[in-house]
Amino acid sequence: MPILKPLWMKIPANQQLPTANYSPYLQKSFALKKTLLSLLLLGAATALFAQQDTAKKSIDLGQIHGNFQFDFQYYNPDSLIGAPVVPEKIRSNGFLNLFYSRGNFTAGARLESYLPVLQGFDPRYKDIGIANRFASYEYEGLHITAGNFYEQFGSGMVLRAYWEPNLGVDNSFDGMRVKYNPIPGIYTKVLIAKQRTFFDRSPGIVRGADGEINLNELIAKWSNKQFKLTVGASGVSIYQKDEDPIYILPENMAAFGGRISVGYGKFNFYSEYSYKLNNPSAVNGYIYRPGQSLLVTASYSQKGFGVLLGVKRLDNMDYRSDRTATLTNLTTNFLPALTKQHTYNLAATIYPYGTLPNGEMAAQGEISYKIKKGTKLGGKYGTDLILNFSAVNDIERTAADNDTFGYRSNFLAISKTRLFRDINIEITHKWNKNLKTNLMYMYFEYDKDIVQFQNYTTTVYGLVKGHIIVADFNYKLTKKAALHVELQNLYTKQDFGSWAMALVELSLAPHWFFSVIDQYNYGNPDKAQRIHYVTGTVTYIRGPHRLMATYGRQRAGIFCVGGVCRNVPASNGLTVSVTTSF
Amino acid sequence: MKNIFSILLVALLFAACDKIDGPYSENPQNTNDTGVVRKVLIEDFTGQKCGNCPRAAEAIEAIEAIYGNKVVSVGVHVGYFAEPNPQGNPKFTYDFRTPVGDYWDNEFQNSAIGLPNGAINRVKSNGFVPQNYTNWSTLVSQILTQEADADIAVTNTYNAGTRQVNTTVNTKILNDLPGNYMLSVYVTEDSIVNWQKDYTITPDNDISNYVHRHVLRGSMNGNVGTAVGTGALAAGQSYSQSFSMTLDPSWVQGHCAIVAFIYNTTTKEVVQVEEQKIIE
Repeated sequence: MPILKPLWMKIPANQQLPTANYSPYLQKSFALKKTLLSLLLLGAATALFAQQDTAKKSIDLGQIHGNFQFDFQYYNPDSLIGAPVVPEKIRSNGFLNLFYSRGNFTAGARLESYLPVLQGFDPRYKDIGIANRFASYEYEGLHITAGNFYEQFGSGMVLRAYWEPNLGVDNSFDGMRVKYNPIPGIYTKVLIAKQRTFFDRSPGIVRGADGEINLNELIAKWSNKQFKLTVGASGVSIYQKDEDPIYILPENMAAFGGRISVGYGKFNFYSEYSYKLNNPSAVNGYIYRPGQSLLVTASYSQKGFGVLLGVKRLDNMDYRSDRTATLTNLTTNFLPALTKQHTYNLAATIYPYGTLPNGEMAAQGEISYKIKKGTKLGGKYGTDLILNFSAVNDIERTAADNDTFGYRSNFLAISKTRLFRDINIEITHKWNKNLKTNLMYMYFEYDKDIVQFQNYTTTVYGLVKGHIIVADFNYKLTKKAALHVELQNLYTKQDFGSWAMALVELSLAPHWFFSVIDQYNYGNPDKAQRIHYVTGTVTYIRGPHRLMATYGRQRAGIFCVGGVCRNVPASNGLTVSVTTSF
Repeated sequence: MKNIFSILLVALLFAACDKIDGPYSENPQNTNDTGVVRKVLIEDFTGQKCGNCPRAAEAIEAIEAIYGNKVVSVGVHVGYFAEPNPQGNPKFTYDFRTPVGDYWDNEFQNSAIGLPNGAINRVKSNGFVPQNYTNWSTLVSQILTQEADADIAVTNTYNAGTRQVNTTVNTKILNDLPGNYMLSVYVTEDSIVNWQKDYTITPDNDISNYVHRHVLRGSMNGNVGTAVGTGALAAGQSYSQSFSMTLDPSWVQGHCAIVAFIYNTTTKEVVQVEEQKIIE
């Protein structure tokens, strides 16, 4: 099982933020690897209390629930890894979510504090404020929301707002939304809102509408049919005033999308296409070229066997409610990465792939197979095999008539420029009551210039190629004590060279977890930079409450989106995190 | 009924889009003004190892091409991307950073947000001072429509033998200005030829002979400047302050200029700015 990382360490040190592999359609036939953290949060989130009057005629006072997270870090300067002096010494991020619900009515608010914000996060998160407040009411298929809300149309390529506090992302809509489900099978949504940016709102106004028809729910005769069909369409328009003296900018930008999901027995097929009208922005370099994207996935799954295939094309599909926004600020849609979201440390944090909004062509395939128990290879409990590959290339660009349009690219034209390759195989085997192992081998290629720096013109780092091997052991020592050991090696001759990682984690049920992790850059061509990044963590969990303390070193990193690069400095010190829910 | 409402809104969405078929650029006119102009200070927070930063310098050139001397630009080198390589390294060993630049970087958090970005008269747009360079021309054109609240005149005398610059800044207040105000006097040097990274240059990103424009060299009166009057400033009042500084031997005096500006201590916004070369 992967290590429980200190929360802020989830920002991959060297690279762009990993974009969550969203589509629910992709996850159906995956053998999902749940981290210890997500298991805990899942358990915590379902801890709901109802306040009830014990009198016979009980008055429903409603329910209050919420969750809380507070992280603070003490920083030691460390010149070896380049950890700077932090004048405040202690920095912290925190939030409290409160929800009140009674019958069909729900209201809530979130307070966030950044005193000051942890290193690596955008420093425009400052001081304390109410980051989110909303009220919603549901009645006979009509659901109205006023205030902040999160929403997604289809896979999110046309519209998506989400909250990920450990990455500092919150692009919630702040306005009005109406969802109407008049009869089973027909779902409509309409929204008009601005988006959250730090403790303020976007200059642009987002208008969106989405309609979806689920024929199996709509047509009574189809409810038990093997054949399943859902279709949907959505549109988004963003208004932002043009006060630019140099360009004549479209004040109303628009994007449209259509989607279809077909299922037959064990087969599933999903496809979504979207088109964006001219939208000159900081991210695309102020070109007037329209944008397009296409996502196609197909899967087959049965007990013990599953296959998944996916193809995606993106061409100039970034849009935001402020055309001058960059990095992760104010995105209105979400472009998923069609690559495996690794959880093993070296595979996830050294060269993670992040979607390039200005264009890419990606393909992914996965086969999962369970060798039955009782067979020679299966052993007593069976053996799980997952073979996965993903490939991303740039789209082919040719010169446009005029610089204003940036470039020309025929639909489905792929460039020979390889951005990313990942071929990996995982074998999970339970040996006996006490021992379970997971082995992974991965071959990867990663174009660091383009993927990390969006430098399309020059080769500085080149295509980094390497191999990763992971050996993961889980051993039950006693009824209450379990040991988890991971050994990983990333071998490459390029960039900063090879890395090794070792993790030892001891868990003493029901409350305690202790772990030590060391990442060692033994292959760095600069001998002085062959550093051990060691961290030790102690975690205490009781019900929905968790207290975690980590001490050690964290690597630096640079992350770039939309023509702006931010340096995330290295750090050395103690991090404490408190989370709870009620 | 409600269905129709949704359908109507979707139909409206189809109508709610602008497709520009050309022309794509306006012909911005620089008006000929009589009288005092409210000039704009553009502070470009940049770094020699920041491969995206030359785009911001190009944005300044486009703005200067339109508005001429109504804008005063300063390049402030800050943060991780401005850190020089250790001596002995073949590239990027020059240190362009300054204490005054670092002070304001810490105040506005420009380098921590991500480079390039800049301050336009240090006004807040969408809540923050640091602005993406794609927004600079918009903010400049908006500020230029406002009338001037003060008039600044900068007079320099330079002694070639001692390399000492004596600067007198005369400020005349044109409209009542409530609040407290500080005067900052910067020294800039133009056309410094040295290394710069640029992601659009092939085959090598690292340019050895990049011309760095109007680089901030330092302040004549400290990181925050010196007070102008005490408290609110009344229309008609005049203030005169003098400063002196010895130019570093490596600076080319013919390329140096003095940039003087007045800003509000609470909002940090620049009221008026003026630039004057050391040697005419």
